[in-house]
Amino acid sequence: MNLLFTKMLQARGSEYLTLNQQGQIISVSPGAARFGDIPEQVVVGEDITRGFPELLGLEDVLIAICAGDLPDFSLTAIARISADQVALYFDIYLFADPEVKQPVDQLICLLEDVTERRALEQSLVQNSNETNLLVNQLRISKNYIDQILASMADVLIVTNPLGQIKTVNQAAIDLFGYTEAELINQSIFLLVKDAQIIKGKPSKCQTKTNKMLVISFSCSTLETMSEVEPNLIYVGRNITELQRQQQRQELQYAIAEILTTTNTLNQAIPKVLAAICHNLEWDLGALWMPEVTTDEQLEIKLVNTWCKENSAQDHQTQCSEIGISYSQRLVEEVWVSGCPDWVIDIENDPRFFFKSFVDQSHLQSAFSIPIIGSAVDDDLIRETYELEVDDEFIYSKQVTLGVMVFFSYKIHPLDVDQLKIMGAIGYQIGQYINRKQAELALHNQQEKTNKLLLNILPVSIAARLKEDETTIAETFDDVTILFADLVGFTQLSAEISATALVELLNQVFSEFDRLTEFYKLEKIKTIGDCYMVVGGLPQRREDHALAIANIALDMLGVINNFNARHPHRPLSLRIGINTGTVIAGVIGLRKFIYDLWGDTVNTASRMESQGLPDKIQVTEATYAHLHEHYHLSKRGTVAIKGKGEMVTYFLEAKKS
Amino acid sequence: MVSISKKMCLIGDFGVGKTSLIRRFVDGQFSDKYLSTVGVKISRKNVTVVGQDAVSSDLQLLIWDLEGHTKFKVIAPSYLQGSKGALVVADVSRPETLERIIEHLDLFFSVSPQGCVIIALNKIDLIEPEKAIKILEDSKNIYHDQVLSIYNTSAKTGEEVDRMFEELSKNMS
Ligand SMILES: Nc1nc2c(ncn2[C@@H]2O[C@H](COP(=O)(O)OP(=O)(O)OP(=O)(O)O)[C@@H](O)[C@H]2O)c(=O)[nH]1
Ligand SMILES: [Mg+2]
Repeated sequence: MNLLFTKMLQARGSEYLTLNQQGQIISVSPGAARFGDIPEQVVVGEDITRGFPELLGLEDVLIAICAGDLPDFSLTAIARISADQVALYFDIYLFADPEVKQPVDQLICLLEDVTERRALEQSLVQNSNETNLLVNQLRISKNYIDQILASMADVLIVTNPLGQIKTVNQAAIDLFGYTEAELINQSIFLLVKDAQIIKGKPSKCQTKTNKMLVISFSCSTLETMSEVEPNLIYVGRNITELQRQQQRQELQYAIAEILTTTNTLNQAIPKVLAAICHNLEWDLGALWMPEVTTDEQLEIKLVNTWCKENSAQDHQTQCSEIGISYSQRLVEEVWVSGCPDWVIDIENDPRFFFKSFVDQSHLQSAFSIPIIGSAVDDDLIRETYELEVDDEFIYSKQVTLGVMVFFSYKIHPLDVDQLKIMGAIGYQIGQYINRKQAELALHNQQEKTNKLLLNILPVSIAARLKEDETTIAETFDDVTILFADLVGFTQLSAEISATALVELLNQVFSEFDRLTEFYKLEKIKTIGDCYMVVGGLPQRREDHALAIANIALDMLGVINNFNARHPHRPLSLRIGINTGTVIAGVIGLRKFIYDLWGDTVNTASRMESQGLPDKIQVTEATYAHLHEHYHLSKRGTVAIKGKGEMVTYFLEAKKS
Repeated sequence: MVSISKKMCLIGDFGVGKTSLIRRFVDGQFSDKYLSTVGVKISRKNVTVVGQDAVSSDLQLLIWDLEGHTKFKVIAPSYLQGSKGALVVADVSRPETLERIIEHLDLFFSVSPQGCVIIALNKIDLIEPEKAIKILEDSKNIYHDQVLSIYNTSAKTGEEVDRMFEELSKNMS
């Protein structure tokens, strides 16, 4: 090799080897060996690939260079890492000796130390690559987080400290109906309609289509490096449905409670309307019920209204009340069809045709529910009571008993569930009305029955009968019985008209009734022109015979007075009295008649029939009770049918 | 003393695990630390391969660990000169490295048209097994007629690393 060239290489600090075409080392510069993979192998005569394995496989290249086909060949930045991890970088540069004409059999292999440059490059590359990998990692984890957020069922909203939305997830987009672009940088209060969100309580929220939702949010802060104040993360769960269900259950409980604790429909209705308005968030409620008009037509009339209290809206409330009366068209439709109805937008509903109503009332939505119940009338109730007719038969006919209508100042989109619940409540109220009707009818019926009973039975017996003592038959040992008969009445009946006769009898017997009441005796019955009264029954009393004696004398007085007033038609009375034991009781299931039985009764009757006009005939038994206080005259013995001879007396007057 | 030496190169994007695969194969070690390779570093490993004729022969592998392809620097073709085989390495957790496999294949075949190549889909420990299988299937559909085979590997766990190197050694002639 040219000396000049050699010197030049030395001056640059480059090391070199010379090789022949087969790769055998011909000469080595003093420092060349340190570049070798195995330095000891870098000696003259050795194959170059032993020391520099990088040249393995490059046989063709060496030949091509020697042949002048290839000017040179280089391998740059070959690294040798020492045992103590120190890196040496060098370039290999292969070319033919420029001094010698090709083809030649000698190549120069230049070795240049580039450690410094490559080490610098290494740290640059390292940096760049690491950053690159990091960015990639970040992207993966961001994707990952994005995926989590996207697949989250819960709503996620991130806002800056001012409440401007910075991030929303898919669930939020789906739920609220806005696009991501519509939400970003908007205030969170576009979605959330109350400040509860800050307290982490269930918050009212509104979708793009004005649907109200209840969302339970949890709020936490998100510290970021770039912003001074932390962002806020809201994770929300849509509990609208849950809350709605709870509310509805509460409503049903509330209604049930109202209906069981109030006695009349009028008391119940305002409470029911209020409960429904509160719970379902309506502002006005009204009940309409059919009424029979003067010309016997059924017409639906406003019965009761309820308004949400709000003094600031006085005017509005007033208008709304007018408004409720304008809802007749809707109410009538529901009444006739028996089906609920929902009006989302009153303004555009033909049934609210009064423009002024819409303008003044500001009402937006309405819904109406029929109250369905059975067609019950008094007759059926009575039959049920007495005959126990199969319930189903009576209650099978369903009719609309009334119509409820509710209004709101807000738009309420159609809520099928709410209609269902309200339908059920309509039935509940219908049943309540039926029950109250039945109770009333029953009450009226009982009232009637009571009056009837009192007319024909002693009060105490009537009471016992009502208390359902089915058999009442009692023995009374000591009673006095009186029979009074209008003598010749049968004869009279041929002379005057039947009505005049009844009128006459009525007059006489009414006087007798007054006397019975006065002496606290018990009238048993009248049989034609015969009046029967008893003393010592049903309340036992010692002076039964005396009381009967008094009434007997007074009865004669009544007839005397009567004759004095009507001299043209004189009446006379025949009275018979007996004292003894009787059985008293009620016979018959349908008609309650209190009556007396026993020999004593028959004898008393005989005393009357065997007596004389204007005379009071008594038996010995009665005589025994009376003779101390009354004047009596012995009649003698009288033949009594079925009894034989009996001693009887005439009662004359009270001893003075 | 082994007389036959053979050169193979590992090529692929930066950071896909070329150095790590070599380290796993040669030293049986792995490190999480990343030291990007600049230039080239050769490792040797003696292996015994059993050929089709059932005759086993000893072989010295010269394994070239090349610097990775980056946006700023492409792999110098001169490194590939005289290489009978190559491992094209990609990182299954970075889709862009998979997309660049084709470029590396083209580069290698342009220098060494008769060379044989195996694709290593590395770092499969980082992804779900189902996803790894899918990537392997997709890659096979694309490259099956250009390459010897395709492996899902992990320098970290050592999965398939030895088998892959052995297969390549056996097929380099
Ligand atoms: N989890 C895991 N990490 C790996 C695997 N292989 C390599 N790595 C890591 O990936 C990073 C890059 O690995 P290297 O082997 O240096 O990659 P390279 O392809 O040589 O990179 P360059 O030299 O820059 O081209 C290192 O942090 C390794 O620890 C693997 O199979 N699984
Ligand atoms: Mg490397």
